[in-house]
Order: sequence, then C-alpha cells, then structure tokens
Amino acid sequence: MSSTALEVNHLTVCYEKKPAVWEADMSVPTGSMAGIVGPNGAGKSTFLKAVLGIIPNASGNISFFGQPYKKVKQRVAYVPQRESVDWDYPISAVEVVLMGLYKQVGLFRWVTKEHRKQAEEALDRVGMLPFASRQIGELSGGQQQRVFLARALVQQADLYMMDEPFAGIDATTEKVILGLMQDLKSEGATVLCVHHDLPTVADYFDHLTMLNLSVVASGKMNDVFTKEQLMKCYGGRLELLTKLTDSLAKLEGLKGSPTH
Amino acid sequence: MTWELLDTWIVATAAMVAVACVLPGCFLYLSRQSMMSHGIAHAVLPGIVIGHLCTGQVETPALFIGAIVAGVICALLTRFLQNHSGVEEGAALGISFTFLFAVGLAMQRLLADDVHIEPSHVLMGNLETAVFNILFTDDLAPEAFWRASVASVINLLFIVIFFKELTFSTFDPNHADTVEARPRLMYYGLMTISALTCVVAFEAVGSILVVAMMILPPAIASFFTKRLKPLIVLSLAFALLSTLIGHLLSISLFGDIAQLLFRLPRSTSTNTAGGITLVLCAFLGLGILWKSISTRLQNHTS
Amino acid sequence: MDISHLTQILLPAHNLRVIYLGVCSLGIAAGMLGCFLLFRKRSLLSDTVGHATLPGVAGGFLLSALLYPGEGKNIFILMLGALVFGWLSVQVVQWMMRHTRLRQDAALAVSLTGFYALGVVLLSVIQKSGLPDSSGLEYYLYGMVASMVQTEAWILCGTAVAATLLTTLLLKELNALCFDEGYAQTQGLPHRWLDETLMTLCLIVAIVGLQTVGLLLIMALFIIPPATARLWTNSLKKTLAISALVGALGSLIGALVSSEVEHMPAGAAIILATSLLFFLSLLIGRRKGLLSRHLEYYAIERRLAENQYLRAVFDGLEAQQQVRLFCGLKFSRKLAMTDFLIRDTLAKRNWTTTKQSAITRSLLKQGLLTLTGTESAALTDKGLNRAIETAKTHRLTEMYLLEHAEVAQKNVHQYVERIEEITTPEIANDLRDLFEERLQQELIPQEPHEVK
Repeated sequence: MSSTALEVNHLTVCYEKKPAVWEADMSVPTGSMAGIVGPNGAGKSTFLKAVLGIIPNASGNISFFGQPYKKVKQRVAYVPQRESVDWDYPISAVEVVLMGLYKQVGLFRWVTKEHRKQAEEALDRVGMLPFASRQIGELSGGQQQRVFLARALVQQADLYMMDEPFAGIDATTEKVILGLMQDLKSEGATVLCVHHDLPTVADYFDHLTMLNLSVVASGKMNDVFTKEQLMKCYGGRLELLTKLTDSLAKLEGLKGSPTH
Repeated sequence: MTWELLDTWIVATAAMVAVACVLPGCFLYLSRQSMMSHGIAHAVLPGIVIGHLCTGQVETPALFIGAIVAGVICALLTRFLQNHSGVEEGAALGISFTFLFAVGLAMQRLLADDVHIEPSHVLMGNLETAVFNILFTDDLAPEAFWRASVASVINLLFIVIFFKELTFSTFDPNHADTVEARPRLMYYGLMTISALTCVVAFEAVGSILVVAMMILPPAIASFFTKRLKPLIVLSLAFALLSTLIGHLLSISLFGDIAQLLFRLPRSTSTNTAGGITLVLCAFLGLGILWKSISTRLQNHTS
Repeated sequence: MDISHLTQILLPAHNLRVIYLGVCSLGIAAGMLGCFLLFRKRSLLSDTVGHATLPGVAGGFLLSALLYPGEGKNIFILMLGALVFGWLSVQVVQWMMRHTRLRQDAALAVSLTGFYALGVVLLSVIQKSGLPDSSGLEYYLYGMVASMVQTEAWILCGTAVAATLLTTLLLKELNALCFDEGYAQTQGLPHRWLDETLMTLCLIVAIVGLQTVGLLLIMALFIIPPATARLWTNSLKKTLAISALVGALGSLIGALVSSEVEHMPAGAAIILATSLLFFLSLLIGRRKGLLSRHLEYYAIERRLAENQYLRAVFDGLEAQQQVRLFCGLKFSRKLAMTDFLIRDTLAKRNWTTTKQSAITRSLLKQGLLTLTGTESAALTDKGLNRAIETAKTHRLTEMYLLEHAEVAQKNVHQYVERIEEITTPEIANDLRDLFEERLQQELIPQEPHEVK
C-alpha cells in the first residue's frame, strides 16, 4: 500500500464570484487522523469537494494511494456536510446506509439480505440500529450524522473524507464518532476531517492542514499546530492573496468556465 | 348518465396514461424538478412538428424521437443558461421552454397546419376522440391505449432497473457520484422518459395536464407516507382512482350542471382530463387536511 | 414586397398605430415588473398565473352568456374573471408554501394544473354548448394582435403607464424588498403590502396582455426581457430600462411579424422575437455575454504579452549592464537608449514569429518602442517606465507569494508567467505598501527566484 493516502498538488478552484482554493499542496500519510482547519470561508469544504471531483473545473493533480481518483473510488468514502441533502426525502436510515454499498450491489442487481445485514451492522456500530427504519428527517442532527457515517463505514474504504462531522451534534454522537475514528485508525484506515473547532483539534487529530485559500501549513500536528502558523492562517495577512486570487478567478471566469 | 363501451376505454386509456406519468413524476417531484415536467411538456412540441414534417405522418417513431430530442434539449438548455447567463433555475427553465414552445407553435401553424396535431388537442387533450376509433374498427383496443401501455412498460422497466440509481441520485447526487451511481446519466434518463411520456399523454390529457398527472399523485402521496416504495404505489393508486372518479364526474355531475345552467338539449359530458385533475386536487386537499389533523392529534397525545 | 406595402408597415394607419403602441406598452410594463420577479426568484410564478387565468376567461365567457344572452362575450367580465383566478392562484401557491410540506416547484405545478384543469372543463362546456362567438376564445390561448380593438389598446397603454409610474415611485422600496426581504421588514417597510402590490401589478399587466400574447406564453414577457437585461448591466435602474426596451422591441417586432405572416400566432411571434434578442445578448452582452467575455479575455492576454515582452527587455538590459538600479532615474536615459535584438530578448518566451511581430507592432504603435534596425529596437522613456513598473510588480508579487503565502518555489515558477494578468493596480499598491522598507533600499528588487 502506498504510504500516502492522499496527495494534492497545485489544486486551484475558481468560482466566478469568489476564489475558493488556490494552489493548494498537501498530503495525508496512510493511517493518520488528519484534520483540515481554517477560518470561515477559507475553502475547506470546497477543497474536499474539489478533491473528490464533486466540483468540476478544479485544476491540479490529485492522487489517492498513488492513483487517480477514478481508479480508487471504492477505497474512498465521503461524508458530506449535513445541510447538503433533502431531509424530506422518503427514505429510511437503513436505505441511506445501503447507498454506500452501491458498487458492491452493482448495476441491474437488487439489494440482497446479505447487503441489508451489512448495512445493519454498520448502523449498529454507530448505535443507530434501533432507528434503522425511521425516515431520515425524523432523526436528530447527531443521529443523521451517525447514519451518514454508517453509510461511509459500509463502504469499508481505506480513506474516509468527512465534511464537518462534529458540527452541531450532541455529546453522544461526538463520542461515537471519536470512538469510530480510533477504531478506523487501528484498522489501518485513514481519516480526513474538515474541522471548525480549534480547541479540540490537537486532541482529535495527529496530522493537520491549515487552509486559508492556499495551504498555510501541513504536516504532523506538533509541527503545524503552533501559534505562529495559527496567526498566519487566521490573521489578516493573507488579504492580499485573496485579492490576487480574486482577480485570477475573474480571469478564469472570462475563459468561459461555467459559474456556480 | 349512461356507461358505454367508450367510457370503459376512456377510463382504461386514462389509467394507462396515469401509470406512465406517475412513474417518472415521482422522481421529478422528489428531486424538486416539478416545473421541469411543465417545461418538457411544452418543449417537445417543435420535436413533434419536425418529426412530422420529416416523415409526413402522424403515427411514426420519428415523432417520438423528435420529441425526446427536444425534451432533452430543453433540459440541457436550462442547465446551460443557468451556468452561463447568471439567472436562477426557474427563470432559465422559463426561457428555454417558452422559446422552444414558441418555435414549435410557429412551425406548426406555418408549416404543418393541415395535419391533425390540432393545437387545442395538444393543450386540452381529448380522451373521447383519442379512443373514438375503437367503435368502428375490429382492433382489440384503441391505439391511444396501446401507446400509453407501451410507455408505461418502458417507464416501469426504467424505474425498476435503475431504482437504486434514481433514488441515490435524487436524494444525494454528490454522494451518488462518489459511489459511481452516475447521477448525471440518471437525470437525463429521467428527462428522456418524461419527454416520451409527454408525447404519449398529449392526445389523451393535453400538454398541460400531463404535469398534473406527473406531479399531483406523488404530492398527494407524500402526505400519507414517508417511504419511497409506498409513495410510488400510493401515487399510482391515487392516480388510478382519480381517473375513474374523474370520468364518472365528467359524464354525470359536471355534465348535469352544465346541462342545467345552459339548458343544453341532450345529456352531456365535460373534458375527462380536466375532471381527473380536479379530483386529484381534491385528493391533495384531503391529504393536507389529514396531515394537519394527524399532527394536531399527535401533539395532543404527546 | 412592393414599396406601398413597405410604407404600409412603416407608416401604419391610425388604428394600427394605436395597436402597436399598445403592444409596446405591454412589453415595457411586463419587462419592468418582470425584473422584480426575477430578483425575487419568482419568475415561474408568472407562468402559473398565466395558465391559471384560463378558468377566469372561460368562466367569464359563460357568465356573460348567462347574464346577457345573445350579446356575445363581454371583455370586461372575461378580464375580471382572469384577474380573480390569477390572484387566487398566487394565493394558493403562497399558502401551500407556507402551510404545507410542498416546496415552491410543487406548489407552482399544483396551482397551475389545478386551475388550468378547471378552465379545461369549462372550455369543454363552452364547446358543447354551441354558444355564439366562442371561437374568439382561442386568441386567449395563443394571442392575436389583429383582433385587438382600440379600447383594448388604450387599456394596455394606460396600464403600462400606470405600472411604470408606480414602479418608478416605489423603486427604492421594491429594491429593498427584492434584495433583502428580512432587512426590509426590520426597517419598517410594509413588505407584505409591497409584495401584494407588486403581484397585483404583474397580474393586471398579464391579464391585459392576455389577448395579445395568449395565456400560454404571457409569462415569457416577464422572464426573458429581465434575463436579457442582466446580460448587459449590473445596475438596477439600467436593468429596468434595458428590460423595458427589450420587452417593447420584442413585442413590436413580434406584432409586426404576426400581422404580416398568415397563420402566425402573435404570442409565438412575440416570444420568438424576444428570445432572439435574448440569445443575441447572450452572445454579445457586455456583462456576461459569451463573445464579450472572450474579447475581454483576449485584451488581457494581449496586455499580458506586452508586459512579458517589456519585462524580457528589462531583464535583458539589466543583465547586460550588470547594474543594479539603485536610483533608476539616473540610468534611465541610458537604458532607454540601449538597443536590443528582438529575437534574442524573446528567446525564452517560445513565442511564434507571428506573435512576436504582432506584439512588437503593438508596442511600436503605442510609442513604447522605437526601431533601431531591422531586428533591433530600443525602449522609449515611456516604454522604460512601464517596463520598470511591470518588473517591479512582478517581483514584488513573487516575493509575496514566497514569503507570505507560503507558496512553494516550484509553484511560483508555474504561476510566475501569469502574474502580470492577475496583479491589478490596486494589488500593486498593496504590494508596494507591504514591501515599503525593502523598496527604500533598492528601487527594484532582485528576481527572487531563478527563472529556468
């Protein structure tokens, strides 16, 4: 297995109105608990989405385990931000989890008992088995987050990419997610989390990337999580970079790439 | 009121059209693309006219191909305008479908006025004339019925085969993409069968009430269930029930009122498609009522 | 088409002139009001309203047949009916969005089809009833300009003037409502009342225009002109003006075409003309037009190439003279007079000869260069100044990227060639402020990294 789970080089994402990520370079070693922090609007979510190809028109080189994303899609699981889906959708928790098994089920095939069992096991791991048949909108915020986590778990991926899993959840869910992350780590999987809460960063992760449009610092927690780097990332000195990337984004817009 | 063979066929055909409409309609409704059905129903017109002009016939596959192409163009144009002209989705849809519809209307009036793609039928639909032929031929069932059945079968197959993909893509397209469920392909597939359905439903219910057949049943069902499969089944049930009640009302109550008011000489009936839609609206009202009562009861007990 | 026919079109008889005036006013009013619908993301509501007027029209027809048998259709009852049902459809949509689980798209579709179905039922009654004069109802679906009588044209004009006046008077308030409804509310704006006024105005205009454009396509007059205007400008007032203009122009052209071409429904003609203006704007529109975007892009590319050229000259001169420019002015004349070989200077650029000569010509034209031989040239004073500025900004940006933004050396190299095009004058100023101390020591800093 490759020693880096994720390697990003020169990643640039341009919206017409606002540049989001500019010339980001970072890598995540296999088996680490990696966090991404940065101020609001620093492009953390965009970074994650661009890495996964959800946002088109991103330029740069991205490789997972030394291979392009298309070849290893199955080894990468994604947990989106909670706000991004329609909670009214008539779908139950276990059905959401089954989505993670899509590739295993395959085109033209039906979900079998075996698949259902796997989904239920995943739900059990996050303590959501009793709610398996509930409609997804009837669950609390933390419970919804755990269902999404279970959906990623069934994929039995090697890399888990999570977008703010700790945002707006209850203490139980936080404990469950943390426990799971430890389990995943001991199983040799890699976790990459977008995180917003600085005080807990050092406790949760062993690898850190500070993002503010560009990657300010990336590396082992002890090397990166310093006062100096935090000042750089959260201080106002990158304002000029914003302006630079703004004008770059405008240019990209002129070239005719679609707006978002 | 008298029930004749024609009435049986009218209801049967309407039921088949309803089945064909509800199947894609459920997913359009769930992915919040209800007005897209309205757009496609309009946009297929130029495709139909061109298909007709190319072959000179009305009953031809070219018609369907033209319509499907036009429907997909509508969806593509909407997305293009959304991306490149800076207007929101609704306005982008409004521009693309009115443009295509205007093109179709102009072409039809200027070039194909002689054919019986009669505009009022496109807009209102007329089940009576659609099944009328059955009285004079030895066919097993009217053409319109066959066509609607074929469309139903195609739609059913599409939805059964791609059920997982459609569900995933409409619920969470981003995630669907990461597990390779091809949400884009599913979206355009859905647009394709919607366009096909619109053409088939034209002569029976007209281009505008197609939207009612597509969107109203799932909207009603969403008040009664929170599961996808029951939602589809319930939608079908409501649609079928309303075709029967709608036609019954059209040939009895509505007709009688009209007769009474205008002293029409003979027993009369009103447009069945309109009647079906009105019944669907009544069901929707019931659904809203049921929902508010049940929430109130729940709050009361808890 | 002979001359007399042409004059007939261009100088129509009085009654036709009134009709064209009416059609124009319709376009203006719809175009202006449509802007606010677009800003409020409610464009498709006009679609629902348009279709929902059908039961009003059909019901009004039946009612007038009941009340005044044998007198034919009474246009005022028809319009009143359309108004009532149009208003009802808006209320239904808003009620459903507020009080049920239905989302906007579904609420619009439900209200649209529900009312339309009622209209279809009523229409079928009319067809069966064999009431006289029922054939004219078709105009309400597709629109018919020729059928317009003078009174209707004047009503159109009056409504348009009233709508325009009201919009102008309420511009500030409507703007606040569209931009930020919540804020408008906290500012004590009667937002509910304003909203109703806006909707009612739209409704009245739509209904008055029903017979001209037809209820199937009337909504397009509210959607397409504002969308066209958005392609040209970003200011509210200009958007309103352009939208009104597009609406008027589209309606007029459409009305002319439909009166000239037999069988051409007015609604389709008007919408096609308006769409044409839209697609044209999509191509050449100043703000977001595809063509203008490309033109702007090429202009920037050209300027970038010029700057790269000048910088290459400057780098060459700097190396040649082995002089650090501590006090640039003293050396400037000497530098400016030094000539250079064009080909050698641009060797690193990998430009085609066509591009080389094109940029050279452009610089010569601007008076930044003078030719000193067949293959050599020299900077003028003006050219030297711009070269110095360019090189300075370029190096400062590089320094910034390396020292402050932590962009790795290799990335700087990758981006270095595009730096000119992304450093605006504002950014250049900021950079100068940032490196003020260092600039006091040396006028132009050294190239901070090795150019390969």
